[in-house]
Order: sequence, then C-alpha cells, then structure tokens
Amino acid sequence: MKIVITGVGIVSAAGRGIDATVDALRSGRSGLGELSLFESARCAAFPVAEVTEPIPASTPRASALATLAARDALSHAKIEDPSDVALTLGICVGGLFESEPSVAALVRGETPDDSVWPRHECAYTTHRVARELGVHGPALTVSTACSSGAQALGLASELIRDGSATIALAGGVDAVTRLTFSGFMSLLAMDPEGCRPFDRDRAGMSLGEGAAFLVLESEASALERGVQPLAEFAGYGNSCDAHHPTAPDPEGRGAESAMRIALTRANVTDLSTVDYVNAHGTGTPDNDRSETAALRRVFGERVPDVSSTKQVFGHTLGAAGAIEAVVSVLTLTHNFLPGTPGFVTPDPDCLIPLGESRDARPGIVMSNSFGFGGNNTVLCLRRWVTA
Amino acid sequence: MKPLPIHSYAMSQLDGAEPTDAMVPLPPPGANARKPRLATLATQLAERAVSTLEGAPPSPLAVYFGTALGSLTETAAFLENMIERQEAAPKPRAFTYSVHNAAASRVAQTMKARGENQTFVHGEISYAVALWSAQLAFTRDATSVLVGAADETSRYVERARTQCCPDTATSPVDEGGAMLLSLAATERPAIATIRTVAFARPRDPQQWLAAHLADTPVDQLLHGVPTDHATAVSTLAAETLPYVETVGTHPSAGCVALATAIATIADGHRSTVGVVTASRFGDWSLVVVGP
Repeated sequence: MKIVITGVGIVSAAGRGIDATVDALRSGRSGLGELSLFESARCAAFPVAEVTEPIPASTPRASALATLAARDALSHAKIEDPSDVALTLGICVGGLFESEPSVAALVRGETPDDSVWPRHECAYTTHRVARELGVHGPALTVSTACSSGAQALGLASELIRDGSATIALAGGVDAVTRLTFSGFMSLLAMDPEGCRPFDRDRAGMSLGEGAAFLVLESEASALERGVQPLAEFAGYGNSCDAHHPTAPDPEGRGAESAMRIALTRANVTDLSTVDYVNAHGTGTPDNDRSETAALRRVFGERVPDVSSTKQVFGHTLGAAGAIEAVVSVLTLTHNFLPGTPGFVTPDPDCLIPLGESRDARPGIVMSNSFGFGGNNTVLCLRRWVTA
Repeated sequence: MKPLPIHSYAMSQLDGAEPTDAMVPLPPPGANARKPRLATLATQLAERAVSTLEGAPPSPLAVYFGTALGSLTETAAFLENMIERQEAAPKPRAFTYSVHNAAASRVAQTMKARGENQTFVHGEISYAVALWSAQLAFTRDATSVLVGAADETSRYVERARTQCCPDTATSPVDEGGAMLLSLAATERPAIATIRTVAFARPRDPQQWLAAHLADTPVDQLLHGVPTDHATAVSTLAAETLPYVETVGTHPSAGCVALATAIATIADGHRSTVGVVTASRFGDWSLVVVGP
C-alpha cells in the first residue's frame, strides 16, 4: 500500500503555516531570540526559539500549539469532517509548562494549584486535540524523547497499513519549560551563542518550541477524495543504540540501523537516488560527530546533501521530528534544500552541511531524529508522481 | 493481524498474593540517583521475563513499553534539586532519567536490545498500544519482543490522583507493571497467545466492546472501566471481574491484569480471557488472550 501525505500544519518560531516556514528556511532566518516565557536569569543566558503566535493563557500551551497545527493540517488536506481520522502524537514533556509551578509549590511546602494535574499527562494533549477537532478515530501518544514526532508519523502509517484507519493525523508538539531548560544546562549541552550544527566551534543546542502535524492516508484514499498528494511517505525505521542514557553511540551504529531500515522499507535500492537528508544536527559535539559517522557508514563517500534546520526552529524536542518532516515535504513541494544557519567553519570530524539554501528538485529525502536513550527514528519521503 | 505468542511473563508483586517465580518486588520508594525507580522496575520485569530462557533472547530484541505518567520520581527530584540550588547547576542525573522513555531505554541498555524501542504514554491503555505495536512488529520481521507497561507512585502522583481521580483512592496496590516476552522462531511452546488487540475512542464504548466480543467471545472478562459502564460490561461475558480488586488502580494496572490472565491460560483454568480498560480520556482497549 502506498501511503501519501496530503496536508501539513506547522507553528514554530519561524511563524505559522507553510509560507512563513518556507520563507524562514529559504532565507536562513534564525528563530532564536531572548527568553520571554518565564523569568530566569540563568536560562535567559541562552537564546531560545519561542512561538510568537498568540496563545490564549487559558489553554495549556502544548495543547494550544498542537491544536493550531493539527487544524491547519486538516484544512490543508481538505478534510472537513475528521471524526473517523486517527490521531498520533509525539510529545516529550507533556503539560509540564502548566504543572511545573505546582510541583515547585509542593517542593517548597506551599499549597499548589491543583487544577493543573489533570492536564499534566502527555495523553491529555492528544485528548485535547481530539476533542477540539472532533476526532474519534483510534488515538495514541508516543514519547521517545527527541524522536517522538517522527515516531508518531511512523505509527500513523502503521495504523493505515493494518486497516485501523483510512486517514491519520500525525504530529508532535512541545512547549519550552524551565525543567527542560535547566536540564540541558545541567548537561552542559546548551550553546550560549546559539546552536551551530556541524560547525567546528559548536558548543551545544538551542531549545525551541512548536508543533507540526501531517495528514497521512493511502494513495487510493487521497485520489478518491480528489486531493493531490504532497509527497509519498515511503518508509521509516526505528532502532535503539542500547549504549548510554543520553550520549549517542560514537560510531552511530543505531542511527545507521534506523536509516537502513527506513531505506529498505522505502524500497530504495540505489543510494545515489537519495538527494537530501534533514539531519538531527543539534549542534552538540557528540550528536553531530555521531550522525556524521552514521551517514558515512550508510552512504560511504557519497553522502547526499545534508543540512540542519535547528537554528530556524530551535530544538523542539517532541515536535522536532514532525517539524522536520514538514521541512522535508516542503523541499519536495517547493523545490529547494534548506541550509544550516549557524554553520560557518567546517569540523574535520564532521560532514560539511549545506550552508545556505539553494534551489533543487529532490526525489527522495530523509529526516533523522535521535533522542535520549539512544532512540533513533528515520523517515524516508519520496516525490509523489502520478501513476 | 498475526497472533502474538507469549513465551514468558513477569509482573509486580501483588498485595496479599502468594509470591511466584513470575513476581518481581517493587523497588523501594523515593528517588535513588543510581537506580531510577520506574526504569529499575521495568528492567527487573524484563530480566525476570527472559530469565526462563537459556541464554539471551535472539537479536535484535525490540522493546515496546507503556507508562501513563513516566518517571515522575526523577522529574520531581530534578525539580527539587533545581529549586534548592536556585537553578545553579542542578544534578543532571535525575533529568536524564526524567524522560518517559528512560525505562524502555534502560531495559535496552541492560539487555543490549538494539531493535525497535517505543514508549507509549496514552494513559491507562498505554499497555494495549504497546501490544498493538509489538504485534505489528511480530507480523513484519521481529525476532524477539519484550512488551509491557509500568507506573510508579510518589507523593506528587498521590497528590495529583487524589485531586483528579478521587474515586480511585481505595486501592490494594497503586503502582506496578508487567512485561511479556514473545519469540518468533523457537521450538519452545508458547504459554499463551495474544489474539486480539483493539483500541479506540468510541462514541459508544459498550457498543464498540460488544461488537468486538461478538467476534471474539471470551470465557472471562477482566475489566477496569468507570462504574457507570461496569454493569453493562458485566453482561458481555459468562464471567466478569473488575481487575482493580486484585491488581490496583494505577494506570498500568491493565497490563498486570493481562499478566494474571496469561497465568490463568497457562494453568489451563480458562480458554479465553479478555482484558478491557478505559482511560479517563475516553480511550478504550480490549486484549484477548488464549492458549
């Protein structure tokens, strides 16, 4: 069964929607700026990619972001009644943006705001999106750290393949929280200059927030609805490094395995037909070195064009895989390859990424997402052509 | 979909139950930097499940895990440390283990499980989604699969549960989990088979459940559903039993109930057992296990 993508929705530091996203990617505009979501002198020392789209304070931030992107994706796919659509969501920190102050109050021995607890759980965000949009198909929530968003897309394709759903709405979301900020600071994994993926002088990542959703369905379903697919969801692969709680396998063997599985499932037998890889490319010294090793193990000396768009969106954790899947779709629909904002000086231990965006007509593109615990998910998309 | 054979299982210790070889004691409460609590429980369950094998399970071993709340003990420990130090260099270890997939990752690291590794966080039916994903993997090319779910408690969880789910305050045990091992190519006979895994957000849960049970009748139905559905559910099988009475009300209790169902099948006491679970978000799941 050929599975296709028929709609995308995205909200990030680059703005809301396709036009804003393409504009930011083509121009290489950084989404990083000053922290404004909460007060913290220590966190404010690091740039962050915040969403500037107005979010009602009465709605949990992750739910609001997810609902915006999901609604846009459905509209883009021309789905007016989503009641039978399946919903898969990748998320990392759940409703922590709202529950964090209550946990802190308990820690201090103060009386917390108990109204936040029901919204803390990751599944609440999925439930909230389903409720807001009237979705009653099978729903699931997956949390595999920074590969969550990509994993949600793979699982959506499985729901369609096994007949559980005809159409699936799949995506990822996360809001910036104090805990994630402090957590990555404690790991010395944040770059005060802003992330510089694959650069010799890179010193870590930059956090971001956002949401992205894609509509997946069988090609037959799309054509029956009279909707032209944006791209083919050709395959995905998932693996585990089984190496370390946070650090990637230095040789990139787990990432290599996920890429090989994705390519096999996508029936890509000639590796030279892969035109572009949207790298996980966080800008941490370990990740970029390990990802380079993995790409070289898979592609040998002929590594395709690679770029990291992390400085455009920040590292959006549970949303990253879905946001970068949208970027990958846009390379196919808008005929360009994005560059790597922040990259200046090549690192002899790393591949040299595309520095600036350029026009291109890719046929097959891949998107890498790697997470804590050595969780690797790779998506493979193909330009859709009429049979 | 292809049925999922179960070759062994492990479950957390139940209150008042005679300990068996399949039971694993809960880790001591509270944060322990060297032994993250949920990850430790999951790893002990996994190790017990594979301990019946001679040697390691075939590679690559895949892990499908469910947890509604994840590693809240570690999350809270990091926040406590962050607040105490006024955000100045909090200890990173608790943050490392605060992610929801920390348990499945630790299982993978301990057992060198380099296959698929997925963590589902879909409330009370997380274990059923994990089973569905494992069943799919088994249909494709998986060689060996660990699948299960667990949830822990802490003072934060207790606070949250008493505020948002006051009707679950009386519970025999309020944390625990289970892990099942499935092997593709083995001469060893399965002790039970997962025949059906279904989950949905049904508009009419009773109708949804009745339709599934009409296709796959069961001798016994273990259920964890809201009280307003319990009476109707009790008419859908010859014998029905609310599983909260034996395994607790924690979000992964359905997975422990499934382990008890597998034990019942393995002992030959029943020929088919269904486990039905409803989440507080309106999701329902049905898992049917047979010989």
